[in-house]
Amino acid sequence: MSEAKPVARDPLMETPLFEPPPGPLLAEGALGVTQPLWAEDLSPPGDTNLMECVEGSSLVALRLACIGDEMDLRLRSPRLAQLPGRAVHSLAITYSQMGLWGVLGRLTLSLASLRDNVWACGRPASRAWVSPRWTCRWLLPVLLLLLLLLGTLRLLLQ
Amino acid sequence: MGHILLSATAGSLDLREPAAGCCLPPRMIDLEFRYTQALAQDYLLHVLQVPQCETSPSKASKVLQDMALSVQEEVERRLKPWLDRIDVESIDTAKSIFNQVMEKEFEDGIINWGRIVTIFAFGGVILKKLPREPIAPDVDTYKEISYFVAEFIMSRMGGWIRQNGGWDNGFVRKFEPKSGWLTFVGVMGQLCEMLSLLKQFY
Repeated sequence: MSEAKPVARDPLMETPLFEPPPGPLLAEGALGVTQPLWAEDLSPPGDTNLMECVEGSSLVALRLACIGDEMDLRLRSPRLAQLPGRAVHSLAITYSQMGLWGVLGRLTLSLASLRDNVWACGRPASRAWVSPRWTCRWLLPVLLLLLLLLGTLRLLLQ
Repeated sequence: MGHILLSATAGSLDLREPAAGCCLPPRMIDLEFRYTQALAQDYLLHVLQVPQCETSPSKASKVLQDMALSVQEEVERRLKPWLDRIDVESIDTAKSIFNQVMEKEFEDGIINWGRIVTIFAFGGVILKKLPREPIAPDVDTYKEISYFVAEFIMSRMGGWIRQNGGWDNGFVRKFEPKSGWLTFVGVMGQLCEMLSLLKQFY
């Protein structure tokens, strides 16, 4: 029992779950049989429907585990509230080493990276588990912060 | 160490655990079970879009509803072919499918809050697969499902939840979205500090 290790079974995440299996997955009431927990306990040889069903449930379990692990890992990454401290520290180092132009160069790179990230987040199925309400709550402050940063830099350059 | 403070939707349950890993009296375990079941019930009612007007849900319940619903939507979207092919005609069938999938999900021994959220989400998936009309006049489907969801969670990961801060100190702290405006004010404060530092050089 442990806190999340890295996503458990990455290669299997690519399992084509979305393709319908070849035959009917479940005979009517197959899972309603008494305590059908494991395929090896129940299914006589040749009971392919139940086998496929058990296989299907394994894939569902695998998908759930992957979603859970991914969610857990993402939420452990640094949050926005922790970023200002890091940013100031990084900015101070850059300024002391490369001066104002170094800071501007870093800002340009960061903006390019932000643009890439926004593009990546815009793709479907990447972070579907994040609540839209949550996303909207972040968007406005981030935009305002960005505008303020740009304004500050402009003032500094004048 | 792992203090937990529980406040269930129906009534208020306070439970403070002195030390993680210490054996809990049966009554405490029962309270934890009831709290987890209340969380599951709140979530399932949320899935059914039934207004919960008795008392407002706890913070843990609200955060769980947000997270689990988005997981459930993703699962339903991605696993539609499989879900379309299963028939969940009774509570017993629902329970056996649930246990089958959950045993598989946790057979590698890994437990984390993300995976615990998926348990509730899958409970919601199963609930929606059950027939809409009541199976028996005296059976509230969502209560039955919430019972076996809580049963699975408490039997398999009750200790882990306790050791990781419980629902309020562990789960909520990790998953609760912090106020964007609060963060913004903090960022502004730091920026002002930074500008005053820079001013010294110009």
